[in-house]
Amino acid sequence: MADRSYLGEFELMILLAVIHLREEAYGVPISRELEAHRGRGVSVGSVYAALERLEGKGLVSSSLGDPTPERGGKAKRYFRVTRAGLRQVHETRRVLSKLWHALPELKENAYEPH
Amino acid sequence: MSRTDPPFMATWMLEHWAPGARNDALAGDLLEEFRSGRSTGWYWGQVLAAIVIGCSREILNHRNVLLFAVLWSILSPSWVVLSWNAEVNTRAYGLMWQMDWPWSTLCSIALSLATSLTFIWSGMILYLIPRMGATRSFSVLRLGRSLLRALPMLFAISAVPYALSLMLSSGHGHGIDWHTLTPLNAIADLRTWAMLERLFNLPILLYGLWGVTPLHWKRPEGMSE
Repeated sequence: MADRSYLGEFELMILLAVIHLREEAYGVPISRELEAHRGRGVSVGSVYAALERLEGKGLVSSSLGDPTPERGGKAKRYFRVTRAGLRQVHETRRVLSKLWHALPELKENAYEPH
Repeated sequence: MSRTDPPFMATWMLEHWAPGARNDALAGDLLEEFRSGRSTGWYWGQVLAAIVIGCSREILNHRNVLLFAVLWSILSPSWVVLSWNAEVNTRAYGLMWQMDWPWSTLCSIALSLATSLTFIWSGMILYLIPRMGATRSFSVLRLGRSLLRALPMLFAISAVPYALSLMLSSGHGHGIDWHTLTPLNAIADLRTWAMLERLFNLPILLYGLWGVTPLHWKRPEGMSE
């Protein structure tokens, strides 16, 4: 059972990428998806570290695919979002959406912080 | 090295130095990316990042072990004083030094090892039993296996503290009065002998505890963190 703590920014992005990629969610496409949307490189090791954390919390599950020659005989590890993971994403979106309501428009010299 | 093969050294480092259960999948991902056109520099960067991230996570996951080992090692000079006081007051201690060489030296080595091992194992038991109880995973076999892990490391490192203890117990020029040094004073002792005692016990304790806690113990279903 996942705990009630909210997701970190990177974890949330990874969960969304896994949801978006559906059956093709393994290390390479997840990293590419993050790179494409963030506009900067990502360490595949940090993606795996976050996925391990998420799996430990029960928010994703993983399974091994078949080994392929182009990967030196190493199998892909596919990730799927669990029901608890999906619930956590929705909860995070609900909270963030509420908070974003108060976000002022970004206009030149229009916003003075308190 | 062909273009389809990433740098051998980087791959070797990834396989041997990056802690983590997912390294096979990660290695496959990096190879797949490299073969699809990523540069050698990119590959090296990814491998180094994976090692740093893996090691940081490993340390973070074992922070309780690390903290306990440091604290327990701080007490080791106190144990040396306690055991020395106990040993010199026994009849067997006197008999040991009346033996001919090499038996006297062998007995002395055995005594030194037993003293160190008692300290290390006491610490391990103190750390492991409550945690095994909390995770409902106590078994004598598991505890025994954990204790045995410390043995090879103890034998590997024990030559240095043994030589040190022989040198120091001779008492020449080190200013240590073993008759008046109390176990409590020894905890606060920052002289070289005390610091070296701590330094040698720390890796043995860490090695003994590292592989058996805490990630390898799964909590039973329904138990919260």
